[in-house]
Amino acid sequence: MNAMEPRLGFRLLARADAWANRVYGARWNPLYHSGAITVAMLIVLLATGLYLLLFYRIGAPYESVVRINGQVWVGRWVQGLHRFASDAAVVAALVHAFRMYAQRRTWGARALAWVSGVVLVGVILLSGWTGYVLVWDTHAQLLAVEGARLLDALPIFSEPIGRSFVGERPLPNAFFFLNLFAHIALPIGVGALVWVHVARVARPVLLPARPVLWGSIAALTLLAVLWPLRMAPAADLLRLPADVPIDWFYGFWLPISQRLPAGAVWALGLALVGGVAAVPWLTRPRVAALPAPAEVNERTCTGCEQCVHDCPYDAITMVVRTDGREGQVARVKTALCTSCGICIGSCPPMAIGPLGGTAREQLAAVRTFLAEQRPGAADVVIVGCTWSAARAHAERSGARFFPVDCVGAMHSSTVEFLLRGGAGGVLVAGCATHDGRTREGVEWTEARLFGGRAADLKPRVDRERVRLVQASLGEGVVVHEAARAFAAEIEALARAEGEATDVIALCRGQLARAAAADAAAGEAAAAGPEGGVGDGADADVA
Amino acid sequence: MARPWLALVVTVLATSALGWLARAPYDPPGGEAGVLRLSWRLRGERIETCRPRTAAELAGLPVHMRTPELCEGRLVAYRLSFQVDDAPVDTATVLPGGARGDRPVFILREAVLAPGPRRVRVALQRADGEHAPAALTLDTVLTAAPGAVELITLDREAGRLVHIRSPDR
Repeated sequence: MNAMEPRLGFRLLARADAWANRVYGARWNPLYHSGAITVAMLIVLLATGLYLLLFYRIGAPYESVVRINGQVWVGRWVQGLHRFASDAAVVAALVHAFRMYAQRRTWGARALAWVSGVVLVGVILLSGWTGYVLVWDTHAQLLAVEGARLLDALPIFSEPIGRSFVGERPLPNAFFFLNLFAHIALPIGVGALVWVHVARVARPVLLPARPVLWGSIAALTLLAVLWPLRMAPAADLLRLPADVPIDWFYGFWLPISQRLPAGAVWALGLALVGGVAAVPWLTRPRVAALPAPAEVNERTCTGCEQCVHDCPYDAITMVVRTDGREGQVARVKTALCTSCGICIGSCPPMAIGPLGGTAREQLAAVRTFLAEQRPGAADVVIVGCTWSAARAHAERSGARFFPVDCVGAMHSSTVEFLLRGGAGGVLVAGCATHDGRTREGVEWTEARLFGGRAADLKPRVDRERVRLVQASLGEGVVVHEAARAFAAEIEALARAEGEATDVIALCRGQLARAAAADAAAGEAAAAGPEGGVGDGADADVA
Repeated sequence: MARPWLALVVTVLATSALGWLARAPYDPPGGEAGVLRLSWRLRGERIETCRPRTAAELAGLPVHMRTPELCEGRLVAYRLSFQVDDAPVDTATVLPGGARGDRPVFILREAVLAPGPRRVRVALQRADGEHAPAALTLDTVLTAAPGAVELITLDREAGRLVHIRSPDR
């Protein structure tokens, strides 16, 4: 484990990931898709919300929602799906935030994503609040009255908002119109915030894998059909609501808020939001411990632009050379660089990488590893990141393990060096595609080893001696099976090679003996006519 | 899918938990008693002091602003007091609304009412005139019930405080 990981959070996440991988498999693990699930749920909300908008009446809010709820075939489940999708969006967003926190993907270039994510969750909660008030049942009454109490504590309104909810007269249509307007306008803000949220990510993944996407929607739709929502009683401002069925994902704050003075609620809320928004600065390592951003050796950079294509954070750009040579050279935008190391593996002349972690230093580490471990022709060396299932497997089985920060940061020459250094085979074990903390790393590695993507594994390397396996935490059995099968293949190759070597040695011995016999026969012929040995020697050679 | 049946069970459980948390009942505090709610809006009395402008002041003003009198005024503050069963519940000075104190007076007070018949007396009078007659008063007996809100508000047409309760009771 990286020393920089927050211990408890990282362990919790690792356990949850491992458990979910065992249940769903890494490919369909919903925890890996939490951010994309949030976006998918927002799209579901948009689609179902448009349908509900057709039937909602601001002049008769509760009655119109009762009518929608009474449409057994469509309205009821669309209403349910709208609500459950909003809940799932909150859950997925919180899981996503926890993942980013636990993996310390919050500070530096990622601070913008974190802060915009916090605002995004706030806007989603606010949008949900306006949506629940639109129904104008007892749940809405609770939210509206308590919200008004909190707003009235701020010195910004000349007339208390709470007076609108005293029950003196029915609420005006303007109140519901404003709520409806906010409920439609806020999601537009959500869209803009999502754009900001992924602004510093190249090729952002906005939707989960199809099975996860459709599985989530199907599960929520089934929930809406099989366990439909029942309408709470209509709001009555002259009665205190009791036993209100509330949505805890949006009303979680009510039990605390209703028991505290408004000022204390504001203080608590601001402290919580401020603390969460400040996570990038609170968890940022000290300057001395900060990983170095990538640097370019302009002397060896050929200007091929591969690192620009591979960088997951759009942190590399091409600029015109200033050293008198023609063409362009790569330049790292250090403010955007997360030190993920993907560029290490993308550069054929090894001209780029974080200081202290370049491909050349990786090859130096390979030399040291070979000198210490001395792998034989029947041995498989496993290359994997330090927190992967591969490491755990190597520790258990005693297999030779060469650690890298991420397999995406592994230069293909590392594999070649290991094989040339005596290893019979190299098993590269990366995490699952959607699990990559460094994003896209394992995809690029596969393309570099087997797909000809630069920096590609040279054609002279026997591909039979190289394997790539994807296994995330909790999938040690996948690594184990892959390692066992690959080791058997390498052993067979070694045996075949050994037999071939024996035949060659045998042939060489026979040839030597024949040559000696020829020489002896020549000497005998020169000495006299009593021969016979020469015939026998010929037969032996034959 | 690693373990399809286990995955199905986990999905069903997770979805059911989400469905339950989306509608789990919550009993807000205070439902065992009733509530006495005082709420109204009142444009308060305005006190003005006027004096004639001097000739120099008039000469210094544009022609269209040369009003003969200069008046400065303010809205008065009020003192609200209410009692339940002869026990004082709240006494407060209510200032005119707005940052400059030029907005109407807004009353919004709540008090817990134990269930049963209760005599409620409310009085609103100018804060600067202890002996002046109250601007608004109410003396009534109402029957408080758990969870019910007894609203005392201003009938603007009649110019007096009235008691309103939920029509469902």
